[in-house]
Amino acid sequence: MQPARPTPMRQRPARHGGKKPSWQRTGVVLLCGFLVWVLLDATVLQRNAIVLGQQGSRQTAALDILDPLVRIARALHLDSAAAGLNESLGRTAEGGFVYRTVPSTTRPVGPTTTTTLPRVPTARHRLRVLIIGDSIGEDLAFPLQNDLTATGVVAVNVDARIDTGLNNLAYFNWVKELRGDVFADRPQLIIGMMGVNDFHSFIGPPSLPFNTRAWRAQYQRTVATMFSIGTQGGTKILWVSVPIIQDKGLNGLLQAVRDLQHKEARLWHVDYFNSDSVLSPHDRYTAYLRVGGQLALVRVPSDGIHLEPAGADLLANAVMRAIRTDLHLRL
Amino acid sequence: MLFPTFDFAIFFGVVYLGAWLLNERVVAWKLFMLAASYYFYAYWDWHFCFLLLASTVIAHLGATAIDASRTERSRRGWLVGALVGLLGLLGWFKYYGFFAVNVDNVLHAAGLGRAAPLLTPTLPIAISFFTFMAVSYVVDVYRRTLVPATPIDVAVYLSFFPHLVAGPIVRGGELLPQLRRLRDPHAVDLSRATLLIMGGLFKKIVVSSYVATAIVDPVFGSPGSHSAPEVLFAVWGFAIQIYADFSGYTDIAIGIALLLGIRFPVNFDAPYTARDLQEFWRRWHVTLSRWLRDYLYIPLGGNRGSQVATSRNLMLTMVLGGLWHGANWTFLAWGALHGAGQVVGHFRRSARLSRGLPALEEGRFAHVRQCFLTFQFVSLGWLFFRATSMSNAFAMLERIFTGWGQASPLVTPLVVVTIVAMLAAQYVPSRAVDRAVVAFGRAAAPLQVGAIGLGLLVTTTLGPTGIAPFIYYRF
Repeated sequence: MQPARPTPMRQRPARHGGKKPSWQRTGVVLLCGFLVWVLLDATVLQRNAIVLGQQGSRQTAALDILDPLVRIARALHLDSAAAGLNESLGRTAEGGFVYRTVPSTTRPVGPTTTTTLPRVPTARHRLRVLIIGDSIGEDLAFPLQNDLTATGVVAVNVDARIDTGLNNLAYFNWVKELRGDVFADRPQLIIGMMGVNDFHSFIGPPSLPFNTRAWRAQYQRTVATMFSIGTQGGTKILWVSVPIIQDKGLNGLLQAVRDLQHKEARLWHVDYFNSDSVLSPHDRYTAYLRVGGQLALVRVPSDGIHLEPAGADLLANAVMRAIRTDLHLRL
Repeated sequence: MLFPTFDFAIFFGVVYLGAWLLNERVVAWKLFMLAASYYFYAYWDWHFCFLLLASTVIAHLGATAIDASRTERSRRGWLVGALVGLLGLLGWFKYYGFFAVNVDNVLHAAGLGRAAPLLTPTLPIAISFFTFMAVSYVVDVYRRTLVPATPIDVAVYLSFFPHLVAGPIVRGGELLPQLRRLRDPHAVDLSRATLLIMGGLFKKIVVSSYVATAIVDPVFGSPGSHSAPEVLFAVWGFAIQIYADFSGYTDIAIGIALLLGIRFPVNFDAPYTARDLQEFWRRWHVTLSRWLRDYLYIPLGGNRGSQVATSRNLMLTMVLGGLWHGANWTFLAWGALHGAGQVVGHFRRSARLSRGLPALEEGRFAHVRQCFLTFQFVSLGWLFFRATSMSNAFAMLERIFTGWGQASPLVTPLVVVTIVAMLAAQYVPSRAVDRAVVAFGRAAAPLQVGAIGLGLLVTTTLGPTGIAPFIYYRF
């Protein structure tokens, strides 16, 4: 016996809404609405495709599609709505970050000014600390901020941005950001931890394939510029290395990033803290560690990169010890 | 694949076209939807497609065997077997690490060795959701409220991409009949679907992301560095963040399903207007609440026994509901807090009813007081839910009492306005939403197109660059 053919389920029309449209009309309205948005937002989408998209055929295709749309949007001034909205929100017209203005006359301040490290900070003369980082830097930043604030003699500013790094300044320019932070906050100690997003090619221009000689030179220059800005006027930098990550292949790539950061740290007399001494005791990735007699999950299992709260606390405690012993600060 | 991405927009465009072109061909439609849903899931990690497939096979074989069994004992045996298989997968991926660490700590404290190897299985996205759906399917067949479906129907039911990742937890009786019927190609609910999707995107991209970065993440990350008002607003902010995030997701899911001619049950119904916890759970994550009620609370005995037994059942249900969200003591504390609140609420209701009074005190002032207190209690629960550890939760609580007299730079007018506006939005009557749906449906096509384009522009521009994953993806 043949099964009965299913019948279309007629849906009740909306009480006062008139007839519901067919799927074809619905599809056309949705598609046109989507295209209107793409046209209105074309310049922002183009920028995002350039600075956030991974290089390859997908990015090329996206740019090929967006390029004529951007031209149409600009010719018809359709991009002005998005530009106006972005500017009113404190971004560039294309949705990029706007960094704090630093007067061009600013010169590195001398070592006798207040940006030098006081040995014994007090509640009245607090030590000014700036913590910068990418997403893993943010994992460390909050518990470290907690520990530093608890001393009662430290004022902490955190500037951590997920998805950022030192190889994609077109997306987020850490050099400009740090210059603004140093100008505005006048930190005496900068603690930095970033690099987990840096084992990629440089986003152009110029585009530099990862770990080529040109890439290494460019990366080294960027790190050097960061350290140069950070150490001006006698400010100390404590740079925390990115720990070993679970994926062995990616960890191999990340080693190039670590090596270059370490090399520059030596050149600039930056204190370099090896996070593996705490998080990877046998120079091997480990998800669990015994902390205070209790076994704890210290790394995020789903990515094998980031720090679980117990791991972040552990690292923050170790960095606090390093601040006290290596930098001879009484906190 | 995240909903608010270009990748999903392209994916959905293809699926929409394919689904409606194949609408008249029932089997082809199901095969197409199955392929699309597995592609959607494989976009994160194709390996986990085998896990979804395994759950589907266990659910199908279990339900078929239950249906074919001639004795009650055999039916029960197959039910237990299927549940062990389904919950075993969930337990391994979600709870093994938590279990191993805690057993190890107990044994270590007792001076004994390690009990279980310390493995860290990666938690597959959506496992909690499709496992609960599979369990409900098998149990419904066992209870004879559902007849076993064909393998392809079960596979589409469990993997259907709009609900796959974070619900709603749709019952077999709700979705399976819709898969067997032809959807009406001449009456797509464009109007309601558009408003749900646009509203969901706004809640997720703008509200949830803003509140998270402006106050919730910095304060929960470092409570010791923040003042009492900042901690309080961070807790209230998280109440708004998780509502905007999760209800935003389900609104998008319901809207997408509507565009494909499929109706999902409501998952959120203005939860912060609830006057007590019982009402809150009828309005918050409705499909989980009714799952816990029908497949856990009632089988445990529900409120059929003594007051003590009812209290035990309430506590057990809420604690297990808490653990469903994750293997962490903070989720357990959250569940226990809600369990205790439910027990107290149950006693109060029973006492009032036995005196011939309405279950809840009536009157405008009483109503406002009840809503306010319920929101504060729920927010206290969210504090544990969001905290990274129990010590983090207690540090937050401590700051509420000790952190007065300091500057509160994170409590900006925009943070306050966002929280208040989102709470006020809960009181917008549903007929106002219906009127908006009707108005959009009556508008001329160019107006609809313009509204969609401008709505997307405003949402994407107000939102931050990059999209954080939905909170409930982790569950």
